[in-house]
Formats: sequence, structure tokens, C-alpha cells
Amino acid sequence: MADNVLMNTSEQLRSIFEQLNGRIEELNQNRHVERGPIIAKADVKLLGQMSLLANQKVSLLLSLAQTADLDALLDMDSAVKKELNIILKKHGLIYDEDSPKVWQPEGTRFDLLFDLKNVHVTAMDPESVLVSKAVKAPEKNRQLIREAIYSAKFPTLIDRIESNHGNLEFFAKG
Amino acid sequence: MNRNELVKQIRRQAEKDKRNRKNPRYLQVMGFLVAKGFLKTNQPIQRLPNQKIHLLDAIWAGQNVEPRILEVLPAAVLRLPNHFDLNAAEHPDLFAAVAKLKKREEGKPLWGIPFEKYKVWIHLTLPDRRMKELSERRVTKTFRFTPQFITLLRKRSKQLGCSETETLERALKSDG
Repeated sequence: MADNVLMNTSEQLRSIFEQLNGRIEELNQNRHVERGPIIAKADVKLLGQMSLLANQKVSLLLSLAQTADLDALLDMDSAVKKELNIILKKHGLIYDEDSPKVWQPEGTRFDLLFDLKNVHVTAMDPESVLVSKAVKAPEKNRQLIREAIYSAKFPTLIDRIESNHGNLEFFAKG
Repeated sequence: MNRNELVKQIRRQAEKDKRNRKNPRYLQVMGFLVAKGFLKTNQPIQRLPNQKIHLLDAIWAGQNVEPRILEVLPAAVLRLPNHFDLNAAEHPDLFAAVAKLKKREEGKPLWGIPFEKYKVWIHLTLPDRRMKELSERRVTKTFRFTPQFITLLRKRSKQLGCSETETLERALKSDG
């Protein structure tokens, strides 16, 4: 069952960005006809829960629940963002406009998910997502952080929470 | 408490969380919200689209197992009222929040969640297409037309091959 859901998340992301890739291709063809400037390759950096779900190992390790928002840093033409919002809506998702406010702890890296002709998609590394959640949104992620610590699969998670002034005692409370 | 003791305590709490994730109250609420498209999970869970939800159970599950339940709960109650036992006396804050969402007025934070954060879910496209978002829902409105106008409207809607409501909407849109 977990495999199915995991496959669905990965498949859903692939489907979303392949559709976006196709739409950019169409927009570029129109611009070519109109002799307008070609749209630059779009860059998407997935953050938060979606980046955890997109990671196969982590998704098998942690119990993840997700609201239907997509947290991501977008570097793209405004026409492309409009297309992305339309595609997301069809997939029952909403882009979170507060995404640029997501804090990235020192040492954050982005792992490649898809490199399509017109769209480049990466995801924030899982441990950094967990540190970010533990420090900036502990209330909403109390059980998730406890489960991650319990798993002992994130070797520097506790150190990074403490070095970024996170409150470990908060997670020890019921 | 030193770090080793803290980690031990966190591990004990994590074991309690694991037991809570098997609690029927959580499974029912999560099964319902996943089935309706408000939440997703990577865990095996039975989808329960017809489940009636006791709000006390939903709030317990949100406060003890999965906080994201609380984030979508006001919108779920607004959009699927027949599935919840909302009562102003028992849940005054939730009742007020749902009323504000319904009237499209600014509301207060609920369970520490800012109004803006729980408001967005009233616009979510749900897998069950019968559940339209509020802005897409049709509202009944009564007009009194002359018999001549009604004859004209019927004739025009036949020509266009659409309903009389749609004919009026088209006429207004092309006018504006």
C-alpha cells in the first residue's frame, strides 16, 4: 500500500512536470511564430512535505501526511507559473505562495528529481527539511520529528536542530 | 535533562505516537479526509468517504497524531457539513471559524493556525467533482419576467443549445 501511494506521489510529480514541459514547448512554438523571445528553462526546487514524499527511502521510513499544497521555489516566466497553477489545480493541488519564506538551514542541498527539456526539478534533502521543520514549525511537526529521531537514520539531525537553536525538549513532551 | 535522557524520552513519545496512529479515532478521521482529497498519506489506510465524523475525535486526532488534520478541518466542515456533528455550543471557536469562511469574512486563528492557512482549503479541487469550491457553486436567484421575455429567452436558449440560465449568463458576459 505504501509503495502504491509512494508511486502515486512520484508519478503525480512526474505527470505535473511533464505536462508543464509540454505547455512550455507549445508556448515557445507560439513565440517562435510571433518572433518573440523563447521562454527560459523553468527551475523548481521542491521543499517541505512534498520533497519528503518524493524521496523513496524517506517515504518508506516515516509516516507522512500531506495537505494539498505544493511548497516550492519557482524560478520561471510568469506565463509558465500561470500554467503550473492550472496543472496543479487539475491534480488537486495548490501552490503555496508562502514557499519563499521556508527556511533552509546551513548545509541544505537539492537533489535532482527530473531534468526535462524545459523544466529542471530538484528536491530539498530530507534531513534539512526535517531540521527546518523542527526549528521553524515544531508544533505542526512534533510527531514527525520524533519519528525521524526514533529511526536513527538521520545521523546529524539532532546536532543540526540544536546548533540552529531548535528546542529538543519540546519533542520530549507529550 | 541531559541529551541522552532527552533522546530516550523522545523515543518513548515516538512509541506512543506509533500506538496513536493505530487508534480507531485517528484511522476514521484520516480515512475520511484522505478519501475526500483533503489529505494524503503514505501509510496504508482504509478510505472512508461515507464516514460520519465526531468533531471531538477529529480534534483529538489533530492534537495527538497528525496536526495537519486541524489545518483542513474548518474547510472540510464547511464543504461537507453532513459528515460532521458541528454544534455551536460544543465547538464555539470552530463554529465561528466556519461561519467566517462561509461569509468570506476575515477570521481568527484557530488552534494556533492562522486564518489564511486554513482558509485556502475552501478553494481546493476535490476528487468528487460534485463538491464544487464555493466560488463555483450555483446560487438560486428568483426573477420576475414578462411572458414575452420568457418566450424570447426560451427561443434564444434553443438556438444556442444551452440552458436559459446559461443564455442569460452569455448575454451578460458579452454585454460587459
